Amino acid sequence: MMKQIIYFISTLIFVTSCADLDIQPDGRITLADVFEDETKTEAFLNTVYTFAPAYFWYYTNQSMLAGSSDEAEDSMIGSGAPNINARWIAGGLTPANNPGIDLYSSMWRGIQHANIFLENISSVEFEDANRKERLIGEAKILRAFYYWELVKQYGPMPIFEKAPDVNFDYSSLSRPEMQDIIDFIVQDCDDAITNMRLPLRVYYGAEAGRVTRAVAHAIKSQALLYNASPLWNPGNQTEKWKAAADAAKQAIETLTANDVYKLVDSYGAYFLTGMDYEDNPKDTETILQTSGSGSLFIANHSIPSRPGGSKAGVCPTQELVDAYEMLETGEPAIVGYEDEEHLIPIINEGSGYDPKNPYMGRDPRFYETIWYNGALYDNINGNVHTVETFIGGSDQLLKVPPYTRNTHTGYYLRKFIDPRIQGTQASTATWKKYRLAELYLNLAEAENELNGPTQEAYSAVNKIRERAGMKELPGNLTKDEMRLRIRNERRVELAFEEHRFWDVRRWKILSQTDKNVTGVEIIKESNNSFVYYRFSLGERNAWQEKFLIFPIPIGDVSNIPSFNDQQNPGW
Amino acid sequence: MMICLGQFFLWNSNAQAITIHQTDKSVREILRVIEKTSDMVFFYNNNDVDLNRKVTLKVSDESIEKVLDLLFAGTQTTYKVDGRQVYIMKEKVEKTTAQQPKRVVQGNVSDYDGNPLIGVTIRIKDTDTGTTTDIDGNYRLNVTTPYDILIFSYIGFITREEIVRERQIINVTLEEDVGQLDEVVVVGFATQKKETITGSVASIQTKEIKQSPAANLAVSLTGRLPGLTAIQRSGEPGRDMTQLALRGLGTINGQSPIILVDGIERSLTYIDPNEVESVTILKDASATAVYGVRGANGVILVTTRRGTSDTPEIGFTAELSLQDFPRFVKPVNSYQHAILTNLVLENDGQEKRYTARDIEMFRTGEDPIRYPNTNWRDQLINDYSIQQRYNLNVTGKGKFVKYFVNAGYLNQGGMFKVEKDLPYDPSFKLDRYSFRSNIDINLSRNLMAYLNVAGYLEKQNMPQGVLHIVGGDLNANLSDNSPAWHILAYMNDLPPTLPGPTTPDGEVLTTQTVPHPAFGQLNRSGYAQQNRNNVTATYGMEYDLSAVTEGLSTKVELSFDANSTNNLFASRTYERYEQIIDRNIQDSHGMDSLYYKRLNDIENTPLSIRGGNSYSQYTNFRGYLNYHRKFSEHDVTGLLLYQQQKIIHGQQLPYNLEGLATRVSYNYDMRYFAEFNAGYNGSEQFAKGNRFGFFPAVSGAWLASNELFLRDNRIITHLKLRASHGKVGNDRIGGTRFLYMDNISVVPGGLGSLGKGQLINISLLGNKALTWEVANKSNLGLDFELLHSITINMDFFKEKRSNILRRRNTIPALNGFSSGVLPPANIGIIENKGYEIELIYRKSFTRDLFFYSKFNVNYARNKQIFADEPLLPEEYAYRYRQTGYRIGQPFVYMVEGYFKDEEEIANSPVQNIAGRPTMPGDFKYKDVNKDGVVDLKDQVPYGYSSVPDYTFATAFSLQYKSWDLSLLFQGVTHVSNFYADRGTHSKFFFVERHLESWTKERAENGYRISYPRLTGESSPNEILNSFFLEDASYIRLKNVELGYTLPQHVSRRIGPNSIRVYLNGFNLLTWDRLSTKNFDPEIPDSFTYPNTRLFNFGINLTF
Repeated sequence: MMKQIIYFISTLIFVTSCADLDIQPDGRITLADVFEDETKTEAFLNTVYTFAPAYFWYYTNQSMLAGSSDEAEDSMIGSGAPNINARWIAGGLTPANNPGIDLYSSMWRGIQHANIFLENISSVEFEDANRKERLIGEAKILRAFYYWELVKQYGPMPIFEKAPDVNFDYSSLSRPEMQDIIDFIVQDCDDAITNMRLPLRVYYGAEAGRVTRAVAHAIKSQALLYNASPLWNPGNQTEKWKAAADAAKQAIETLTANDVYKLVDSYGAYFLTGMDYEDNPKDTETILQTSGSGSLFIANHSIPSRPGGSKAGVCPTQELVDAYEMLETGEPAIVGYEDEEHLIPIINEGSGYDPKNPYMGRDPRFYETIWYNGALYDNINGNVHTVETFIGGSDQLLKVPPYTRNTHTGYYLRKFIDPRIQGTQASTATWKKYRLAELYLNLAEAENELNGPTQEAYSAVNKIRERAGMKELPGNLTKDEMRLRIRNERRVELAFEEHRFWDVRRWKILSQTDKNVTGVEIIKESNNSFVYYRFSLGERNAWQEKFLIFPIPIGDVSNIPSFNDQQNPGW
Repeated sequence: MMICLGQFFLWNSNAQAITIHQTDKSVREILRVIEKTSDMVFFYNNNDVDLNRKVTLKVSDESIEKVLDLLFAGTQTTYKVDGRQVYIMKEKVEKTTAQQPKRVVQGNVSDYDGNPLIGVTIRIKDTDTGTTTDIDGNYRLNVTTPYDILIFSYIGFITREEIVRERQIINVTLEEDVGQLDEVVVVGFATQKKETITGSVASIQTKEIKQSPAANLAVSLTGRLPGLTAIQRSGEPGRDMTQLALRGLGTINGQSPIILVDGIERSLTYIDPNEVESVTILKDASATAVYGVRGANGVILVTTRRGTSDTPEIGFTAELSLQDFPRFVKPVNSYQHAILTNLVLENDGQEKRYTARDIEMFRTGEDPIRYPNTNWRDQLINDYSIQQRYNLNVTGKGKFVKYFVNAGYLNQGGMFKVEKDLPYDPSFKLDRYSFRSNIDINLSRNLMAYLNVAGYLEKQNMPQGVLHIVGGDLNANLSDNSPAWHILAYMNDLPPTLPGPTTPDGEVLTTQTVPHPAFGQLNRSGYAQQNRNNVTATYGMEYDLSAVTEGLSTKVELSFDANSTNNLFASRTYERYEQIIDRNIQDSHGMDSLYYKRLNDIENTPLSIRGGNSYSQYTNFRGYLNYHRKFSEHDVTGLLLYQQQKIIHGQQLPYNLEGLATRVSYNYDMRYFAEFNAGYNGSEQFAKGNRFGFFPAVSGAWLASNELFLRDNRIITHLKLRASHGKVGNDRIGGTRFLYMDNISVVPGGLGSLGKGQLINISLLGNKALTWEVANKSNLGLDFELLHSITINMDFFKEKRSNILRRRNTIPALNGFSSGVLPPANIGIIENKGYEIELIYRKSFTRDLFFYSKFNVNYARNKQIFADEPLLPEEYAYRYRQTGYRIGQPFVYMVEGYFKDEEEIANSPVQNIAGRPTMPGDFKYKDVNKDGVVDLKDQVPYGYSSVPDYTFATAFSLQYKSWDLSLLFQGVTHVSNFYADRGTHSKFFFVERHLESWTKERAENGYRISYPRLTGESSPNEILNSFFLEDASYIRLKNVELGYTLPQHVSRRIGPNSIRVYLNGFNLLTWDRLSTKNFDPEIPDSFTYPNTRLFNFGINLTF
């Protein structure tokens, strides 16, 4: 029996100490560890950078935002899986549902991470104090950037100078005035603008992607321009316009001094490549570039004749085509529509526009932005291909969905697309979040609103026209005429760059532009001539007053009482 | 009254040789000593033997017969030794005493199988006169009047009464008392006599389990155990998707009960039903408290068989089944498809696609190449497939060893039709080889050891499909995704108007919109195979410490499970073709010219082989200290257990758990019972200091039928009241580990010039206070039996689960961290209450006819008390989506009808749902908040969740001579499923109901309308609404079994002792309330491998 007990005990000993409840997973640190060390602190700033949206074609189902404005109709509309644009124009936006342009959470994350960084960096010792100053400057620019992108979409938002801690009482929050939050954004920009540890431009490839003083200027200029626009300036206070004009002027002066920034020569080619970081860079125009196009961009925005394409993507509307002026006269071709459906254009008789040959003699930017019937596509399998959007043509319009590979409007996107790229080769085009041309247009608009069509306004807008190869604007325009021309210039110059979507909102012309869009059905006659029939793509459902400002998402409205009381109008 | 003095776990290496030295001891004491020192068990009747007679007995190494001869020398007592059992009885039947004229009654008492019962007490009611049966089951008894009532009683059998009348021979068959007295039930870490149980448990035995031919044990439990809900979510061979819930759902996190096979956490799916002795579910806190931090969702205990039969018994079973899909999506034919396609286009204001001639051609079918009517289901699905199962087991026990050895083979065929001449086999199928050996060894009088070794080898074969090509983690892919999903989805995307499945040259045909045609996926994409090898072993030793104090014993148990999974992916790509019909060119027959064109540049490639494997390991150690002793009327048991376990999954850090469990039970005179159970355990999931939790439960019972005033009651033959209350935990609080720690790490990425090209990745902010879920459970039970034939068991329970780990929903998004990064907190509260009622009726009408029926109904309803949910604004008709509702409560738009015309639309609230303008024929939704607009704010809690509130089942079995018949009907109600996607919605393809869609003509003519206006645009109709959220209640004929046992003389002539042949079936008939028969009510989608129906033939031989 004793023997058995011994067996028993030895079995026990054999199996003990198998379980250990103290398990330490690898690689975990705490936030306090991060801000003890220079490298990790920088790495945290790197994280703050990651909240920048990708923009461009990175919306749901590889789409561009243009399809949610009057610039384009998305070829995925009517197909099984609705992408962002299909959902947007169907009126899918509600407080509980955002079709895919929801920056609310990600921008707040960016803001609060920037706050965490700014709160903690002061205690971190850096070998190079200048470097630390630069990092602080970058964090402020990022905070301003995230705030501005948020406010642009949702209106004024509470100001956080530091991130809320666990005990923060969210129910105490309330929405400030628009001016307050704009002031806060401008303050961050100004802090950066005066921070000489920040470069004006990045000259080293290694530093690609870092924000600069020029970015601070661009954010400030855009924020102040929006703040002065009808949506946020219902009383049309001139001091708001003055602030906008001054900021644009200061920005242009600073950026173009010593030609650090200047407009590039070729409008079309500019969109096919990205920034370079030479001492004498070829791209002198881009202020902030956020993402690249990679190998699938062109496949997703392709004419059907091109091998390797998977869909047509955003198809330019007839309205956008109509916005291009005539090269010869420098006059608008179409000045409006007689009917609500935009089927009967009001042709500017003196402009030289020929409705039978509508693509002749237009603004050169038209040819750089849009593939149209008869355009020459430089290289498909070594041949020059003629784009055929006419019915029965190789790139024909198909009006009945779901033909995602064919145009729904009669046009295809050309901007950003290098026609020499074959198959699934990668494209080098990049997203230009801010570029110098915008600053000129900001200046022209603000100056005209502030002082009327002054020389300053003229020269700013003509600077853009000149590069495009267009005539200067006629010198005798009234303030109202000038406003229309500047807005049109902006529409054409910045087409497909996510300006139109927001511009029609701040100008409060959404109900005129976004109710419906049209395309063109082209019939090839037996004598090889073409007949053009405009047709409506049907009613859209995101043009009502409430769509000017996005609704604050339901979660935060439910959790913060003042957000519920001050929800944006109409929601 | 008969008493059995058997004690568990007493062995003697030399049972026959008895040594005893006792002086002046009572017969009772001497018998006890012999029992203790040998493996003899005595059966006797107190009235027959003078137990108090004092004797002196001194023998050494004598046989039992010799000892007994000495013991009973000079008395009227005799005995019979039968193996280990010794029956002690009176030598002669009553001597006649000449008081009154006596009549002699004699007869034989046997059980249902015809075996004589020895030692049955026969007593004349209200007298002291009685006798017992002899070794052949015969008795003789003098009675005084024909009105005397004989009472036949025998332990483990139902007492029977017979009026003598004029009979002289009264043969009696006693029926085994299944639910009574001696029935032993497996409970946590022990077994307990059913009578002494105070908590809420339920169990079933092999016999019932085996009535189901289902390949998966979990499925066989459906409807069998009151309180257990088992929902079969897939019919795919080897992919077990059975959802198990004990007493409904009590939490949003880990909801399923823990499953223990022979005490160790193991999977139910691969277990061969033939090796199962019983399945027990532990429902209330008193039953599960010993599992402490893991017990809150209840426990399922599976016990495998051990050696029982004195003579070695060999059982062989062979089964052959046919399986088919009773429910499957059924599309319209090509003619109807063409008409409906045109209707859609017309509704959307577009040109029709098919001309009248096209439609006519589809109707006549005269040109099946250009105008086919392809039934993709017939092309791809077999009418039936075969399942076969074989099992061989050997069981027996000798003096030192008990053994149960089992080997099984299962082959489950798939329903998908594969090409014959492929160089590989892509079919869905499962092969499972299983073996088990459970051995108990008596090492000495005090020490025994046991070893359970079991292994499973499973080979699951399937086509490659698309998933495995697309996915990243190979191992994750096979366990989470089935290739059947995409095959079924794409199969249902191909309209019948397309030709197929191949070109005349055998190339795969498809169309632009269907990139992965089902036929190609099934046959041409290669195959995938998962081999699962599982070895489980448990070794234990038990030592009787009666030397220390009587009734004390100890046990250690060590188990080791290893499971390795090997995945093989043999994939290839294949060319796809498209049929092109050129209407402008006619061939020589005047038909439109036709050719086949490559769809894209995907090539035919040879098989490319990849693989991956995963491994998991489970070790468990347990040490027990057991105590059981009876002090006259006081019966005490005690258990103390230490356990530690370690689970290793692949490359993850191990999961560890350690703890103590204890049970103390007491009963007084088998009338009053009290029990205390507790678990104390901890796991690595929690921060130091918060790691260990104590989970106590108390329970009590009153067995009223053992009270004097009820003891002989003829109507109420059993009555027991039970009550329990306690606290149990649940540490399965979601998939993320180490939630108590920050998960911040430095990872490469971001801008190269910042932080050396690194990012700070904040995946989780830790919650240091993290703890387990706590369930406070109460249970009230009532068991009673009437007339020995009707049993009613009722349990009422209430549970409050608190500390439920939830994401904080009331922290606004502007806090800067996503909800996935913010620490979840122990904040949720859910209440769950309900009942189980079980009715059993059994009756033996004659010796040959036995009837048994069972009915159970279970109800469990949970309610979320606190969900940390933001209160929606006032305009919302319902301001919470979870708080106050059941887990998984759907919120829907209420359909009021169809809009009949523009006028009605204009006069109704604006329907702002899908964005598209409302048209006649669209659903008219209810403006619940009366704000004139139908939108999100008008969603209403409607229907139930996908886990039913009520489950019920009824089983019947009938035995007539050699025939046996059993049926099981099972059903659920208060359950809802949302039917969307293929087979319901029109945007993929058309099914029958679309033929009755709303059109102006149909509406005006008053025809039946079963579906809203068809449209190809995004529509306000095909969304989650009260039309598509359907009542998924059903009643099923789950099992039927008809068996015939050949007469023994016939079977013996052939060889075996017994031959039984049987026919049984599974999922035979279903009655439900779904609006279409395209779906199985347990599977609410169209892309899961549907549940099968089985028709099975089996034969069982026993040698």
